[in-house]
Amino acid sequence: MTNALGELGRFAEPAMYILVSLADGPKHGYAIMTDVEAFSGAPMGPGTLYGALARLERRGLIEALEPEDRRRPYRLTTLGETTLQAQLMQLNSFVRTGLGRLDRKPS
Amino acid sequence: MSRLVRLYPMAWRERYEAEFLGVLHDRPVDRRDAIDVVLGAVDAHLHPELIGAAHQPWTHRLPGLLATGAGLIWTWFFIHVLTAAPEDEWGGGIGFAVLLMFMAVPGDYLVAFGRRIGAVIVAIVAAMILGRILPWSAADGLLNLTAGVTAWLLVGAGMLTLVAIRAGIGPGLRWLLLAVAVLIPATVGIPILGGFGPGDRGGVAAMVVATLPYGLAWALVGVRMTVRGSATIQDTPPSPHATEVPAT
Repeated sequence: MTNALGELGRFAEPAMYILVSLADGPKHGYAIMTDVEAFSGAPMGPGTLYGALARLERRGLIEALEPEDRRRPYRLTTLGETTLQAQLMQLNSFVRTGLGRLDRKPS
Repeated sequence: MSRLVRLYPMAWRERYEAEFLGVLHDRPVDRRDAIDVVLGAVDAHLHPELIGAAHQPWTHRLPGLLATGAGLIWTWFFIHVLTAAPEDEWGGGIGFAVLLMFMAVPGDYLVAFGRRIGAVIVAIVAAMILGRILPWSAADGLLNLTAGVTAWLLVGAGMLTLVAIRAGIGPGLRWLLLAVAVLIPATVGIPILGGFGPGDRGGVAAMVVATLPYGLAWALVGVRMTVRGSATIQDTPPSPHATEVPAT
């Protein structure tokens, strides 16, 4: 994980999940939680969700939209999209390297 | 469960409370979520800069940590006293706890409340002199008890009040804290204590009843002061006697 999210400490992984969740369009808090749980298999608590949202918003990676009732949707900023893309490219390279080495492992 | 949101700092609540309550309403919150919310509140107190508030230096956590440490050492000491065999040494833990308590209320804060502190110091000295004059025995227990209770209430309640003010605890909650941590235990424990001789296990139990809530109260106030932050002696304290000097 590069510095952009790595400096978030224990919130780095939840932040990455949130960025991925918002990659296909704006979502509010509860929708992010259910989406993250669906694609990662791990539930995200409300405290963790808002700890990560506050950090992402502070760094300009996401932005809040006008609230609808008590639900406030969030969306990726341009910086957020660029950061997410860089993170995923790096992870992709990491995965390919790992799988390639497993394939070449002498039996 | 939505009451847990009150644990978050006010600035955080102004920004996120409505939508946060919306999430808690949409999703049934289990015990794991409740723990997650509490940890999130601690995180929000430790990182006020996330919502635009000024970041507090680590030194602002120091008085709270000292108060927490003092409370835990005090509590540990009296639990140890209760469980130790009579011939065991009780150690100097209590002196260390009291030292930490004094360090948790720095001098600049005391100066800001000079008159009241002066009155407390005079009363403490008077109680100490009274304690010296009167020997501890069951026969003249009444006067001795009065001196002990007075000293305990002045020192114990006074110090706890100062640190509670520093932790931002309001007057109502402060009185409740004093009642639970000092007044009620002293009323119950110290009179019972007067009926026992030195080394008597019943007297030790009464002493623990009288003093244990005090340590727990210090630990709780210390935790609040730690997460909230508190100015140190290096900062300029607000003085209640300060007057504005007109520009020349």
